[in-house]
Amino acid sequence: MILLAEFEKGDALVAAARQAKGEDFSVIDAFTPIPLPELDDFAPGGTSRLQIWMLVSGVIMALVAFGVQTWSAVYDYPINSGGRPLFSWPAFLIAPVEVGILAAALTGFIVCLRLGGLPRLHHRLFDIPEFERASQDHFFLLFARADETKDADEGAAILLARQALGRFGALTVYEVGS
Amino acid sequence: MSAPARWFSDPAPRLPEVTEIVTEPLLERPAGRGWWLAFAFSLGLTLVMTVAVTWLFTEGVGVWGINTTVVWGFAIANYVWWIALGSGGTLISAILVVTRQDWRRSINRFAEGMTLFAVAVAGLFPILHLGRPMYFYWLAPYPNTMALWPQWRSALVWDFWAILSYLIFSVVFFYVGVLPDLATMRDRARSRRAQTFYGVLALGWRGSIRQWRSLESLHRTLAALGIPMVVSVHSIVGLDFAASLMPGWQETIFPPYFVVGALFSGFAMVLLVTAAFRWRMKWSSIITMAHFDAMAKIILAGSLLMSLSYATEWFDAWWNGKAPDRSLIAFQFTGSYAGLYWSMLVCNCVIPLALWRPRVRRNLPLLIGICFAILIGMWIERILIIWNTLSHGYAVPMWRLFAPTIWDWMITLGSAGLFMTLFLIWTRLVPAVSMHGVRALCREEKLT
Repeated sequence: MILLAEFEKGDALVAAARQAKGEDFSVIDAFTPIPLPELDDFAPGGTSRLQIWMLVSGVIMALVAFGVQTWSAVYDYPINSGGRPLFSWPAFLIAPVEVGILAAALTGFIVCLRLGGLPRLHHRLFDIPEFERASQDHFFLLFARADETKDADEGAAILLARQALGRFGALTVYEVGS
Repeated sequence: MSAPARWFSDPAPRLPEVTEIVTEPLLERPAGRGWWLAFAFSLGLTLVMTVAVTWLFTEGVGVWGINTTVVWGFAIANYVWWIALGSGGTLISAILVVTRQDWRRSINRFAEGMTLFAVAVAGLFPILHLGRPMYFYWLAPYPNTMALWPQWRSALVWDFWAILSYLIFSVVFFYVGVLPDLATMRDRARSRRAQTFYGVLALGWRGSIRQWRSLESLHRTLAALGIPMVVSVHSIVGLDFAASLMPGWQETIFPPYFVVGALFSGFAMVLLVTAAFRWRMKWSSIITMAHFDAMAKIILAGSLLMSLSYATEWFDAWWNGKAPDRSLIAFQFTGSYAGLYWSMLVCNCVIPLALWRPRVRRNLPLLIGICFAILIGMWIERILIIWNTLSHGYAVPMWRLFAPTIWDWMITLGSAGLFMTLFLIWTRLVPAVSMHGVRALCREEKLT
C-alpha cells in the first residue's frame, strides 16, 4: 500500500525520509515546492546524461552548420566575391556557434522533460485535493510500508504511519493505493 | 556567507507567503485602472508604429532620412539598442547564476521577460531596413528555384542566425525557469479556463525529486551556455560594423565594446523595470535597496568600461596616424553632431560616476534618473556610431549629414509602444517573480 504524508516544513520531510528504515517504511518519492538537495540520495542516478546529450547535439549541429556552409560556398555555388577565398572558414565559424548552442538548449529541454516523465497532464496524485499544496508551500512524501505482512489490515497500517510520521511533524497521511 | 535575511526587508515573508504575494495580483484581482491606462497608451504607440511601418512598406525606405551617403539611420541604431536591452535579462539569468548571486532570484523573472520582448522588437528592424523587405526570408538557406545559397560572409546573414538562436534560446531558458511556477498557477487558479491554460503549459509538473534535479541541472547548464550565447550575439552585432572597411568602424574593439555596451544599457533597463514592478506590486519586502545597490555597482562597472572603450578609440586614431581616422575623431568632437556626442559622453561616462557614492546607490529617484540618462545616452551612441562614420567617410566629396523624418521618429517611439504592449500582456499572464527561487532563498535564510 502506498501512502502520502504531508509536511509543513521541508526540514521535517528530510528528517522523516532519513529515518525511513528505522520506522519501517521505504521512501518512493517526494513532491516539494522547492528543490531539496538533501533528498538526492533517494532518487539515484545523476544528471550527467542530460549534459552529455546537450554537448553531443550541440557539437553535431555546429559541425552540420559548418559543413553546409563549406559545401555550398566551395562546391555547390562558388562565387568569386572580391577575391575572397571560397573556403572562408573564419566567417563560417560564426553561425555554428549560435546554432550549436541553440541545439544544445533544445535537446536539453526535451531530455529534461523525458527524465522527469513529462509531459504527463494527469497523475494519480492529482486526485488528492490537498496535493495542490505541493507546488505552493507544503512538502509531500510518498512512501510504502516496508513489510506489509506485519500489518493486521490497511487501517492499522495507516494509523501506524500517521503515528510514526506525526513524530516528525507530518500534518496527515493519505492513502494513494497500491 | 551572507547575513540573515540579507535580501529581504521587513516584514520579511515566510516561505508559505511567497506564493500569495506573487499570485494574488494575477489570480485574485482584475487588472486595475493603472494597467489599463498603461495598456491604452502603449497600444496607441503601437498603432503609431503600425501606421509608420505600413507607409514604409508602401513607399519604400526613402520615407526615412537615409541618403546615398548615410545609408543606415534609425533602423539599425534601434536594432542595436533593443537587442542590447535584451542582454540585461540574459546577464541576470546567466552570469549571475554562474557567479552564484542569490539576489538575482526576485528580479530574474521580469528581467527575462523583458529580454524576450526586447529581442523580438529588435528582430523587426533588420527586416524593416531592407530595401525589399518581402525577400527577408532569402537570408535563410531554403531550397529555392534560383539554386541560390545565402552569402555566408555577410554580417546580415550572421545577424539572422544570431537573432534566431538568441530568441529561441531565451524562450527555452525562460520556460525552464517558469515551469514550476506555472504548476503553482495551475493549482491556485480559480476558473476552469485558467486551470486548463496553466495546466497545459505546466506539462503536469509535480515537483518530484527527479524532476527538480533534472530541471536544476538543465537550468545551470543553460545559464553556462547563455554566457557564450549573449557574448557571441553582441559580438556579431558589433561585427555588423567592424566587418566593414569604414573609418571608425573597422576596429577590433567593436565586438567586446558592443558586449559591454549591451550589458551596461541592459542592466540600466533592468533597474528601471525592477523599480516599476516593486512600486506597482508593492514588493518591497522581496526587492530591497540591497538589490538596487548591487545593480548600481554593475552599472558603474559598465560605465567605466565604456569610458575605456571610447578612450581606446581616440587613442587608436592618434596612434595609427591615419588621416581619415583622425579627421573622424575631430568631427565627433567638433562637427555637426558634436552636441549629441558631448551629451552621450555626459550621459554614459560622467553621470554614472555618481554611483561611486553608496548614498546615491541606495537613493531610488536618483538611480532612476541615472538609468534614464544611460538609456538615452546609449541610444545616442548607437545613432552616432552610424551617423559619424557614414557622414565622414573616406570619400570627402560624399560627406553629407543625416536628418531624421517624422517616419523615423514614429517607428522609433512606436517600437517602445510595441514592447510595452507585449510586456503588459505578459504581466497579466505570468507570475513576474520566481516563486520557487524566492522560496528557496527563504529556506536558505531560515524564513520558513
